[in-house]
This record gives sequence, C-alpha cells and structure tokens, in this order.
Amino acid sequence: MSPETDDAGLALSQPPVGIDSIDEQGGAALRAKSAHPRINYRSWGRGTQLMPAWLVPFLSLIVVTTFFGITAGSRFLSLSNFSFLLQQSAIIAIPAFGVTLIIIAGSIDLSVGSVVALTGMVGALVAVDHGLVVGLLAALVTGLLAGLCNGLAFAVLKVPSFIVTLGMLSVARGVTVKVSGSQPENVPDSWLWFGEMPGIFILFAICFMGTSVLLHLTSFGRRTVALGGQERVARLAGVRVQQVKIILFCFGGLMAALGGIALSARVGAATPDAAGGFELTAIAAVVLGGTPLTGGIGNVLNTVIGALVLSMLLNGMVILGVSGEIQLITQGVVLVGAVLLSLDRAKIGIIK
Amino acid sequence: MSATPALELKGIEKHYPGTVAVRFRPGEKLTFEDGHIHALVGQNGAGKSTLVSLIAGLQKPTTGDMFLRGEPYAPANVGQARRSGVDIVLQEPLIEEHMSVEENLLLGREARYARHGLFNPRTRRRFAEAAMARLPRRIDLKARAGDLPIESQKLIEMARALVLEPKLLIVDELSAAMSARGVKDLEQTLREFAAGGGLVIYISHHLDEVVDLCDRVTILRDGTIVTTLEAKQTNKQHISELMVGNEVEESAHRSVNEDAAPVLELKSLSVPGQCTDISLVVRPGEVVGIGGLMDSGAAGVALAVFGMIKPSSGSVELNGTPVRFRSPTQAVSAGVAYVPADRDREGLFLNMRIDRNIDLASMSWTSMAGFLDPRRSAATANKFIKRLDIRCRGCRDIPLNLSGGNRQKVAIAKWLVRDNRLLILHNPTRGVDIGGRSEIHAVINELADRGAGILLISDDLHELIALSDTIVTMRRGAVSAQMSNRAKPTEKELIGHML
Repeated sequence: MSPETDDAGLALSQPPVGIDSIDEQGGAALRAKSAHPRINYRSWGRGTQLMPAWLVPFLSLIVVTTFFGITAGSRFLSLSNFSFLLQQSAIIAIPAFGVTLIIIAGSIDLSVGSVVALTGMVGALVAVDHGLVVGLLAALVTGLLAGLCNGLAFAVLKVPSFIVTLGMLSVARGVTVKVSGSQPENVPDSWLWFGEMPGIFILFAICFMGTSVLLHLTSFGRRTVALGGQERVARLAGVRVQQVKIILFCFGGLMAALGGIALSARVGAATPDAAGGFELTAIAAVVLGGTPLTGGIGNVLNTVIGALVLSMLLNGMVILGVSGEIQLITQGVVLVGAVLLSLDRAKIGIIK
Repeated sequence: MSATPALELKGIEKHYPGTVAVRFRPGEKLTFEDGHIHALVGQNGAGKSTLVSLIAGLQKPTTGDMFLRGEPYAPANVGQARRSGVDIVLQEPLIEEHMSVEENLLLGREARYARHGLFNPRTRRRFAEAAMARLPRRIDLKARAGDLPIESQKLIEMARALVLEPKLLIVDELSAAMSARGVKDLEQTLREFAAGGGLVIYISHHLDEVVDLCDRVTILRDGTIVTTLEAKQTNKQHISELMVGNEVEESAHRSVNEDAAPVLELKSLSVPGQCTDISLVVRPGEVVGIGGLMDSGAAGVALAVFGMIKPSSGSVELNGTPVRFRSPTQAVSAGVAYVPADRDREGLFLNMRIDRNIDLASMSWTSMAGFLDPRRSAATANKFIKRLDIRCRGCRDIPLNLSGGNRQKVAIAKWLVRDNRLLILHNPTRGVDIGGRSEIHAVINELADRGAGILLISDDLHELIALSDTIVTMRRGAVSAQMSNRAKPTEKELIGHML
C-alpha cells in the first residue's frame, strides 16, 4: 500500500459509478455526473424512453388484457376466468411480496420456490396428524427458519445473497423430498379454504396490505430502501444493517410459507416437486412490475400487477391452445423483456 | 489582443425544467484567449458547471452561439468536442478503480496501442510513460488506481486528457479535495499547458489559488456574468464580494466553560494503521478542530469514535463514561453524530427524497413502535429546510438536484432532528461555495452555542481557524500540536505543525 492511501483510500472504498470507456460511453455517464445540472425528477421520459416508467406495468396489463380479450374472447373475459386469474396471481404474488422487499434492499432470493414446496409439505404432513392450526404454524415456522438461515448466512457470515439462496434452493428441495418420502401428501379438507375464492383472496389482501404498510409506513421499510440505495450511507446513519437484512429474509421466508399454504390448498395436496422453477416466476413478477434488480426503488402494488400480467399471459395462452413449449418460450422472452425495461428504468432511477 | 479569440460565447442561455441555469444578458459575449488560464468563479448554482458542460459538449445550450477560433462551434457530444480539441476534467474522478494506473491512463484510447484487438505490453507501457511525462510527479504505473489518494486519481485524469493534446482544457473544481502538494502539482501542469499556447478554463472555490494561478477571472452570480477581471488587478476579498454581493465569514467568539465535564475524552486512543496515542478533550459548547494532511490519521479518529473501526488500545469516554461502540448504531444511540467527508457516497442518498434522508438517523426515536407518520416527517423536513435555508423544491425533492452546499445541509439536518451531544464533522464545506459555507458555519456555531460538543476535522485551515476554540494538528497518526484559538494561530503556523 502506498503511504498516501489512508484518507482518500477509505473514502473511495465504495465503487464509483462505473465508467468503462470515456470515448464510447462517456457522454451519458458524464452527463449523469456533471456537477449540478438541475434535472426535474418528474421528467422521467427523457431520452430513450417513450413513456414514463411507472406507466409500463399498467400499460402491459392493458396490452395483455386487450390482446387476449380480442383473441380469446369471452372465455378469457368471463367472470369465472377472472376469478381463476385472481387466484393464480395470488399464488404468485404472495411469495413475490417477500422477494420484492429483498430486491428493493439490493439482494436476491432464489430459494422461494423450494421454500414454498417445503413449507407446503411440512404444513400438510403436520396438519394431517395434529390438525389445521398446528399445521399452519408448522408451515410458518418452517418458512421463518429457512429465511432465518438465509438471513444469517448472508448478513452475519457475509456470503452474497445470490449464493446463499441458491444453496437454500437446493437444500429446501432436498429436505422436502426427504420429509415427504417422495410421496405427495393430501391436505385435510379444512386446509382447502386457503385455496378457494374468498380464502385465498383474503390471504392475498392481508399480505398485500401488510407488505405495503411495512414498506411505506414503517422505519423498517425505510431502512430496507436505504440498504438498496447505498449500504454505507445507511450504516453511517446508524442503521443496524445486519438486523435489517436478517429480518428481511425472515419476512421472505414467512411470505413463501403463506404461498406454500395457498398453493398446497389450491392443488389439494403438497407434492415434493411443487413450485419447481417458481423462484423465476416470482422474480419475473417483481421485475415485470418495474422494480429494478439494482435496489433502492420499488413498490408492492407493482408486484401485484406483475403477477397479474404473468398469470394472464399463461392463462391466455392456455385458452388459445398454445402448446407448452411455446408457452415456455413466451415466458422466457417476457422475462428478458421485463429485465430490459427495468434496467432502462434503473438508469433513469439513478439520474432522476 | 488577438483578432479572433480562442473561444467566444454569445448570448448563451440554458434552461432546465423549472430553472434557468445560465442566462447571458442580451447580446453579451464572453471571450477566452489562448495561452490564458481563465477562472470561472461563483457560488454553487451560479452556473459555472453548466456553462463548461455546454463548452465540453455534455449538454446543448437552449439558445446562443459558441465560436471556437472564429468558427461556429456546436458540439453534439463529448467525443465531438474532443475532436475539436476541447476536453474536460470533472470534479469527481472518473477512474476505474480496479484497473492499474497504466490502464486508466489509456482508458478509452485502447485503439491507439492495440492493433486488431491485440496489443504489445511494451507499446502500451511506452504510451503510458508518454502520458505520465506530462505530470510533474510520477505515479507508479502498476498501482491499482482505487488504492491511490484522490489527488493522484485526478492527476491521472489530467494526464489522460493532456495526452490527446487538446487546445482547450476545462478543469472543474479539481482542487476541492486535494492536499497542498497536489494543488501545486496541478497548478504546475496547468501553467505548462497554458505556456504551450493552450487555454485553460478553470473552476475553483479556492480564491487564493485563482488569484495566484489565473490570468483572468470571470465572476458568475445566479447564471449571469457579473464581470471579468484581470487577475493581477484584483484580490480575493474583491472577488468574494462580487460573488456574494455582501460580506461574509467571521471568527467565532465563544466562551467555553473550561470546568464543564467533557462530552468526549480520548485517552491515548490508537487505531492500527490510522493513529496512535491520541488524547483530546471536547467540552460542551466547544469546537475542537483537527487539522492534518492526507495521511494524518484524523479520519481514523473520527471513525473510531463513531464505532466504524475498532481501536486497538486506549479509551473513548462519552460524558465521563467509557464506551466501546461496536457499530455506528450504538454511537448514534449514545448521541454521537457523524457527517462524513464524502458527502455523496457516505453522507446522504442522492436519490432519496429529502424528508426521508432527514428521517433516516432518527426514525428509531420518532416512530411509534416502528410506524412512521409521513406528515410529521414532512413537517420536520420543512422545518429544517427553512432553518438551514436548504434551497430545493420542497421536501419531496431529491438531493441530486441540489448544489453541494445544500446537499451538505441535508446531510447535517439528519443529525439535528434529535439533540446530539457530540457532532463529528469531516470537511463539512469541501466543494461548497462561499455563501453555503458561511451558512454551514453558522449552523455549526449555533449547535456549539446550544451546548453540543463538536469535533471538526478539516483540510481547510481557514475553516479551522474560523470555527475552532481549540485546534489540534496531527502528523503521521499522532497529535503534533494543540493550541487554543485565543492564541490566534496563523495558517503558516498550523501547516508547520502538520508537515
């Protein structure tokens, strides 16, 4: 180390806003950094974007509805299909609420799918023997524990959340298979309430409002946003960074457990391979809602819209008789498209 | 005077939504001559940065014309400006910190030494050496750029610009974060460039430097040109009067109760790699200033008191009780506040609404069981916006839209919601204009008058003398001198203790 580094070296330990090459990319980056041109924070649609960012999720909702409304007609626009869509979206949205907060804090949770399966399975197994309430509690505690493990490994042991939750994705799935003995487990009849219309909607509404309040009206929510914005600033303002991270992942686990309960109730049974690949669906819902993976911005309503768009897309294609492989391809393209949009918006988020 | 000036700006206006950043009077011209170092001075928000960003092609003027050596000049982007021989070095270093100095020097110029994407390390080394030769001081080419102090990074940027042999070099507040030696190196580089016939447009808050270094000074206020002066025929006092319109800055006159129990007492505090055996006392209502050069370890003292780094030995006593903070959270709970030197990366969130920024440090105390009241939060923010005169468009504005001084006020306001016993400030007015500076100084004085202990770490000797009751100088991690401000130490004296 050179003898001159201390003071400035310390201040610079945060990576600066990256610039690769002055000649090629300098223009935009320099513009963002140049001293203080006053930029109206409402004028988002500048430059490459054709519409204000917040409009994109709403617009995609309208586009998807209109498209399938025309092509699939009354089968898509019927009341019963709408109810089906709502239930389908709830299954996606509930665990995605947890993922939303985690992404806003600048981290990622890849383990939701496996945790949904695990909690559903544990809940069903316990409920069969000990009744509904104990089963529900078991599911919630399992989710909480999975989240706690994620949170501790991430915040205390400082393993990046991507790796921690990738590990949990595998571990939770393995435990699910182990406890179930590779057999599906039927849930008791009382459990089914959580998968039918008033029940699942009530569960969804409670989760939605709870997460919204948590994000917008509590100091915990404010700290979550702060972590995603710039962790060092948060730390220097006295935020208990580790604590916030651990609680975040516990919350994520809890939401996954509620999702697991709803999913197993809807299917009527907990299966060891339930919710395979669901982590991607959840992340897609968050991203489609316009929450950038860079953290620091986002809200819960957008995730609901993202979930709605996703389930409409799948449902619409099923009604139109689109084959499974084409569904997969469309889903993939939509996910990448959503990330593309969210990246663009993230950049504007920095300039804004 | 030559027939065609190097650069001529005519009737320039630049509008942003809601504001006008630059507005020349009808028909007004601003000319720049070759071989000159031409300073642009003015408070933050006076339009200096906007004006140079137009010249450098970062932005386009709303109206008005520019002429480069008599030819109409309207660069569409930085690349075009650069091809016309106009280059800019910005306030923030644009450095890839994981790359070596050598790679940074040639950043964006890879095509010059690489053919078909392949390059010979020796050729590259030769190019880098050529760039380095333009600096008065050598920097190790193999060093990782991120490990270097800010001033070396800026010198690297200078070399990177100079190697393209521009005719016009714009330097935006380069010296704001530099040590005395760094400033000297920079000045020498600029003088050599101007002596070679180049034009330098130089933005600086350091008026001593401006008077000393520049040939001409153009003073801007609120986006308009006040006047252009020959530097030899003016002085610092005169320029600062023109900048603000009224007189500023006075020394503190406080009576500190010497018998009061100290707010903070450090007893032979040592932090590995930062400082050794530091003992000092801060009493209620007292401002203790710590001065030192780049590697003096003063920053380490602040971080150790605030719980960011662990001291290896010695003790920190807060109001007579020994404390050993394991995190800033504990320090904050105990009534310690810290305003870091790097405002934009450590002090506040540029993209977070002002009211939320201000809320951040006090939420644990102002929330009801974790629930926030947005109206209370807005009311608090508005109170501080008024009290500190933060110039913004309401509490929902984001600090990114504010000038440096106003950003700093937001960073400080965060710690005023609760009454803190000890406030640690590190370079609170770095990169802040004179008006903002005196406002921030007034806030610091007010806090001291209300009984807070203040530990002020500053590279700015004027500031130390203007604000401190006691001045401590540090050299190589140790206290080199400690004096009362009543002894009226001069800057020369202080520097002597630091070197």
